[in-house]
Amino acid sequence: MTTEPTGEPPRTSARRGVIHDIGYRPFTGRRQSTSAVALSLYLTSLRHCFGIGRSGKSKVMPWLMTFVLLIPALVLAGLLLQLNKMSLSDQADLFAPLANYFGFPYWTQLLITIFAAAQAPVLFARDLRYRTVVLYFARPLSRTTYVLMRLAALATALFAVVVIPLTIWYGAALSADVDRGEHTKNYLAAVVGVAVLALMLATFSGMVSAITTRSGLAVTAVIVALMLTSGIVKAVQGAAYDGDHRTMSFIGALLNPFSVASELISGLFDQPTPDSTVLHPGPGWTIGFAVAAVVWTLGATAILLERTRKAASL
Amino acid sequence: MAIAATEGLTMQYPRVRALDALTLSVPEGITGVVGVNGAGKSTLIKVLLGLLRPTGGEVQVLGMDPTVRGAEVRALVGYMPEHDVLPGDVSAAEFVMHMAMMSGLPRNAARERTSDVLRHVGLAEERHRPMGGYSTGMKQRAKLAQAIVHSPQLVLLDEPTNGLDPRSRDDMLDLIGRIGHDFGISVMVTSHLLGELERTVDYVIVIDAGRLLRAERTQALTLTTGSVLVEVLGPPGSDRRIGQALLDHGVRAWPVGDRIEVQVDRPETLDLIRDLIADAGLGLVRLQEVHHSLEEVFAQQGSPV
Repeated sequence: MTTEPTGEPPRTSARRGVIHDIGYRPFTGRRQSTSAVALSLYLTSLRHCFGIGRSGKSKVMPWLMTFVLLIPALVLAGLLLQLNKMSLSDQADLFAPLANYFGFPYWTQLLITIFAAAQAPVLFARDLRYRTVVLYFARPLSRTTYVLMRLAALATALFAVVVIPLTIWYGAALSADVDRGEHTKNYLAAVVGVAVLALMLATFSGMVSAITTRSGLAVTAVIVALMLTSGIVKAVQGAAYDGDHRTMSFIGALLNPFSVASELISGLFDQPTPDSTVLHPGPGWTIGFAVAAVVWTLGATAILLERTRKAASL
Repeated sequence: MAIAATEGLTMQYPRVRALDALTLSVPEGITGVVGVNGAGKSTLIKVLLGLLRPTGGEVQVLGMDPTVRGAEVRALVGYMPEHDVLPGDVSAAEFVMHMAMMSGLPRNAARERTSDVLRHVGLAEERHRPMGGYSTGMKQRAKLAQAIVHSPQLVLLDEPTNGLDPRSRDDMLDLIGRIGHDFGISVMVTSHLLGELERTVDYVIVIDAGRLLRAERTQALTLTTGSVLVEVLGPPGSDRRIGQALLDHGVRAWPVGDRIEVQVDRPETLDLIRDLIADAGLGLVRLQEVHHSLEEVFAQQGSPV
């Protein structure tokens, strides 16, 4: 930054005897377009999801979850690389789980939920609680763009923390002695599933954060809501499996983003389900789960937009 | 040329009419918008920012219609809200820079201007501390900094002196004066207190129940009353002696505390005051024109403010 004096210091500051006051200089450069401002908000929000540009304390949770999510993927990758040293029967037991990529987000859903619950309030509760949204809305970005950029950042962060371990796992599979075609297909299907899941989780946790506006409350509410519905889904699916009620099983699966996403890609890409109690849907129910994913995402987005608009009345 | 103008502006809420056929013009410089709470000041600001679509009438800011070109208007207008809006866990330096970028400044320009503007508003040492620990005065300065960091052409300040102690209030008014006169940013400042604005603003707009009550240059409003205030230095009772002497010479004079207010009908009266004091062997400490305060002016109009 330049410290050269430019022009006359204003009279008032001269009178006050401020030596280093170099006077007011207006900005004469080019202002950025609204889309560049939107991109800037997206990138800042993405950094904030990982505590970058925030206090040291706020970096702990996102990075802890990111690293803990790497552990199962590294274990699976290690198993893949050691596969031909094992007995044939052990290999046979491992083939199916080692190719079940969407099983990873399904079985680590507590960690992913904690990440979403901890980071959504950073993007959606703080601005409402401190009423900082008022300052955003007095600037070029529209209210809708503001919310969508925040959502995109949270969805990207969620997608990244799941897809990076998946990719390490897939990389290990490529260098191991397994059916590459099957692994590639399952990996790509899982990436699509994670994208759908990230959107649902981002909008849902964003919506809860915007409604509660208090960070602590929002974290608890998101974890409780997702874990509770997950428990209900598992109970319904278990009971339905025992009683052989397919429809009941699928209706139960609608209640939680993780089961919606796993059913969706299972039906869409002919994937193995993460668990034997999770049934493979037919074409009709696959469309049903696609609709459910859209409803989860758009419904939460609509409530989030409405809530942010209202809270921002100056 | 008007920086902002409205023509028959009406804002009808389901129950309340916040703005009622309001026609006004905000010139360059510093304009005070005065009215009681609920007079429509904040609604007017929202409409000028393009955040509220008026139910009737026309509005124009910097030559643009904010209902159509809201984003462009907001890029060139700054806004300081009345209420607390600062996140408590971020430092002023980080926050103001982020807000500069949200207004479209490139990163380097945003960083440079943030440091300049924080210095101008007087937040030098504290700017790297979280804003949650700031005093009310410091928070107001940070709010003001984010409103001018993107080098706007017009800045809207909603009750910037609310909640400040007298000294911080004077500092804030000085700062507003510098922004309007030295920085070349036109200012529209609202207040429910007419008196505190008269020192700073060039132009006063008074609104009540969403209607324009009066709009005038401050100077035109506070014309001289034609009398002077005289203060003399001498033994106790000197002021009475001079006052009596003036009355003896046929000049209207009356005591104001331990000073004398003298009606000046002709310039020679001033000479007479000087001579009388000199002849009495007293010191002349003060000879000052008396101006009407804005509040007196409006009280005379019979419009309670």
